Amino acid sequence: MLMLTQMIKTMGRTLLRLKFIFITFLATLLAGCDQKVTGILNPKGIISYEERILLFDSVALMLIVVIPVIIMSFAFIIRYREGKRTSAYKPNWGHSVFLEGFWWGIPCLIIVALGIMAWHYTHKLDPYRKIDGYPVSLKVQVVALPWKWLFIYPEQNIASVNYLKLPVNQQVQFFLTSDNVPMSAFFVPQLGSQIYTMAGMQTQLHLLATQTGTYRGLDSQYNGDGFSDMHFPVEVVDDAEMKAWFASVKNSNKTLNLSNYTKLRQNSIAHPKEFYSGVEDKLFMNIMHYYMGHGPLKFDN
Amino acid sequence: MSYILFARWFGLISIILSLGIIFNLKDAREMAKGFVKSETGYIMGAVLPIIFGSLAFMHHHAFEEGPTLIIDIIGLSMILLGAYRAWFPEHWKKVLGEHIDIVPPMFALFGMMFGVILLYVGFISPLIR
Amino acid sequence: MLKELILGNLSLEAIPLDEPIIVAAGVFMAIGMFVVLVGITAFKKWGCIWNEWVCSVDHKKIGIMYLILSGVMLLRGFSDALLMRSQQAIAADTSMGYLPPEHYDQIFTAHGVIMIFFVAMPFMIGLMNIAIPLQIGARDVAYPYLNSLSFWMTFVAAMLVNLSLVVGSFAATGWLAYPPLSGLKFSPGVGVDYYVWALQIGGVGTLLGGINFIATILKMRCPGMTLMKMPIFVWSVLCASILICLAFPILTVSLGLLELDRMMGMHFFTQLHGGNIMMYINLIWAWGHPEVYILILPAFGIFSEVVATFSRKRLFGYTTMVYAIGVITFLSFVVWLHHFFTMGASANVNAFFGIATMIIAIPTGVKVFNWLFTMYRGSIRLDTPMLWVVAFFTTFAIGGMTGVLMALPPVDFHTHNSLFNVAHFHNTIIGGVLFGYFAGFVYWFPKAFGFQLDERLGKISFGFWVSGFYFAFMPLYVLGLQGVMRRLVHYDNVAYQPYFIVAAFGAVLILIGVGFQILQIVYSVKHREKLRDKTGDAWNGRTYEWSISSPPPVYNFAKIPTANRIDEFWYEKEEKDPAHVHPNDTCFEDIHMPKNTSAGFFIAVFSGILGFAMIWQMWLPAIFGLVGVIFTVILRTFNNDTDYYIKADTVKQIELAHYKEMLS
Repeated sequence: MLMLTQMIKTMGRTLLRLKFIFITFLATLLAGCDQKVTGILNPKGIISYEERILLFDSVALMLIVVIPVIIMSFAFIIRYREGKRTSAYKPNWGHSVFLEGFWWGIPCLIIVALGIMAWHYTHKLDPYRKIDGYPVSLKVQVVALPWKWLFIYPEQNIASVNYLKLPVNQQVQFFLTSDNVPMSAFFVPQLGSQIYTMAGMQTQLHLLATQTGTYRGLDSQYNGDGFSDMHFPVEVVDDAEMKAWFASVKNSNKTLNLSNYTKLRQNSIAHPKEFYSGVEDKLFMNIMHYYMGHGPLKFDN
Repeated sequence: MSYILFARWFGLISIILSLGIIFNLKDAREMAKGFVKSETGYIMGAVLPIIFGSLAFMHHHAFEEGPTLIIDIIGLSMILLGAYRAWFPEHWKKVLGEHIDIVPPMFALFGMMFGVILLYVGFISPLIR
Repeated sequence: MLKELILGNLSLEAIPLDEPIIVAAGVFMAIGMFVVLVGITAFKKWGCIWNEWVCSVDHKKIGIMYLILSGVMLLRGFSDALLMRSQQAIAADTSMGYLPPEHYDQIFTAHGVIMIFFVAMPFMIGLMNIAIPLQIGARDVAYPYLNSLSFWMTFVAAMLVNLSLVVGSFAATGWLAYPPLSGLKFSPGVGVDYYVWALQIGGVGTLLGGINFIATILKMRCPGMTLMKMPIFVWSVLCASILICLAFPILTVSLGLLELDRMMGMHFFTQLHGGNIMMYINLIWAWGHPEVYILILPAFGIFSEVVATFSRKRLFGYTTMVYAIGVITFLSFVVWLHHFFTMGASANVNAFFGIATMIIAIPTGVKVFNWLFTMYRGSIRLDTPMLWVVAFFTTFAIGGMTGVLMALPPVDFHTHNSLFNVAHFHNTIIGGVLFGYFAGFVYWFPKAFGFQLDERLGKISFGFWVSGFYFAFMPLYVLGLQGVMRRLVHYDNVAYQPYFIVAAFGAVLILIGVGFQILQIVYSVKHREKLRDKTGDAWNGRTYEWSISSPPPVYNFAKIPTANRIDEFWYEKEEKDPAHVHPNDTCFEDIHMPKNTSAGFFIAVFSGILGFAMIWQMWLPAIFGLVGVIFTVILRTFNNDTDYYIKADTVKQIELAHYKEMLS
């Protein structure tokens, strides 16, 4: 009797936990329209939107096996527990080709389906791949610095620190590297994928925001003491506002020349926003070349 | 009937019936043994799958990629299964008789699997697309 | 000059007297050690401790020592977890919590390192040591002296990590110490050096253990026990040991190259001068992924044993279970890139590794179905080991599912380095590895110690562990999907705080669960006469470890059994009546046993001195340590007196005593 109560208590606890997860999850899902939900559950960019579909579809395919397994584990415990020993007890039955074929076969089919989805979507949503159907209208060079982000707009010859402004419904191509900081990773969850930024190397990312608003950008790879403060607002605005912003930054009295950059790349945590009206020629390229052992830049590291 | 409605309807039926079987395996085995001998078996095993399967299939979208593909596959498999049971009932009864012991949990397992994916296609998938 | 050679960089400043939490922890550790040392002296147990335990080459004793080490380090690793959970529950928006980043970063690094290397691995190797020779009908492992050495190397490595708390600091790089963060430029202190040397020393111990168990299983099975008649646990340990032998050298090399960068200014993994951090990341994960399969395979083996025993039914699909283990072993070597999909590999590469990772789900799923259908039409007893199995089914199913989910590169682009990732691996490690080892612990405890653990306290601790786990990690899944990253010391969005508070509550529930486990052990020791396992077969088991007394005599089997089929012991019990033959009717022989030795202990101690000295650049002590290691190894080879015989009469007396107790 005590054993039965214990068993029911633990089962009940596990089921309650499952219900708790499910309700929280469903609430977050349904609250997707609510601006408070962040991340892939509330996508505001084409890439995130597709990734969310993939997430849910693959979970559903796996639940095909997982939910019956969980239910069966409880059903069998209840039905076949000691004390209810009936003619059902078959102690030496341990082999059935039919059953084995079934549970090798069904997971294989599901994995084949998932595999096809994986192949297709990995290629479609490759960060290095341009988004189909949209021309690249803006290029941004991203440099991870100790514990802040530098965004250079090379075609407009302006730069900003810890602030990123993007145009809505236009494809933006990112080139990323890092300087004077351990490996970091650029990530705007509501817009698209994350990608590592490594010194001396260039990575790429393509994003397309579908709704105006302010979103959160951050560093996802732990890189030292200032890691938790290495986040920045991403403002997605319409084309006119974008052009107006370019013009207003051009009026800034600071330029990102070499001496300003040398100061900028020193350690600082929770760095305030900065705007530069001009950028040292080929700065991004030279930062990478510095790590490759050639190029004009010299820092004492 | 749109594919979403079909998914919701059949998904609910599937999951509720399978839960009933998996938690009442002893009764399910008795019923399975009875099926093999009577017309109920023929109706449940052959007629109903053909009806449901063709319903799903009637509203198919030509096997295009996406969640409707699930409905198409499930519909097709039910039609094929129902057809096999209607055209070769003796063979079916023989196979069932040989494996009667594991038929109830297997049937419940298939029902739960169908139910899970149909409920997803019917309720959750439209929310995120 | 001499002072520099002896003391290197070590000075009194290395002791962080200005950080109250560390001082408190250090004092606590010191008090604990002091109490233990005083206790041993008071009860005059030094002789016994030295002769019977430190010098022991008996696999059963070594197994118990591994378990004790694992338990003690669990307390340290779990304290780190409580510190992290409480910090994150508080540090929302403008609050900075009570742990500064420099300290918090060491805590999460230490938590990961301790839990994997000094809790999970010793727990596993401890259970392997206790059970494997008994299950295959052997008297000991193939290399008993090496077994002792393996344990003491692991012990010394753990002590180095503990020492880093009070002398110097530990690494603040995350548990895998990626460069360039772990390189000289960004981690100039001793922390990463502690990390490297502790893992190198421990790694040697583990590698030797892997070799030992492969040799034992392949060469020391009792007559008649072909490979396909071994208990499944033995298969899983064989494959885990193969993984250890193939994977741990990669760890040794990666950490070795990192240390060359740090100590000798080389440029394998620096940002400048031609180094490439991507190489380290590839190498460390080429070890890291097999490592997690090393941990889970024995847990799967334990589940097979427990499910069959507690369903009183033979394991379903033995042959496919073996093939599934083999497939998992092989596949674990071709999936490592899934740990860094976001590093910028091409879509073809990412897709290949993603699909390979998903394929591992197939044999794993097969195993789960086989266990379920072992329970089907069995007669199930829900004792504590079986309860852990039931919790495992649900928990590991969820954990495995999130793993396959993250194996899809586009999904991983969102979940990598997020709390979703953290929740996934804790889900599989706690729900799979830890629940399995707990089941094994309760299952084999009577065999190792001679008395059972109290059932009621076991069930209560189980309830707290399982509910605590769900409360602690399910909110992390939700947070991860919302874009909250791991290793955050504080965060700005107050909306996340409720989730962190629930997670902290879960951690407290687990703490209560751990408390009840300790209580269970203390209570059971106190009431051990009442809980005594007289027959040696506490659970009506199916394999040979249950055919001898609890605890077994030092030679395990008076007569090596002959196995003609799987679960031979079970069928012997069913068919023979009585199953046990009276000792007076058996003819005994002298038994050949290995002698205890202190060599393993001393080699490990010298290695520890070497490691500590290298960390602080104390060159003379380092040479002393190195010479000590080499000298002891060579000295041991000159020792010809390494074995002895137990006389047949002594064996008979021991067997007679057991037989009498069995009948009472």
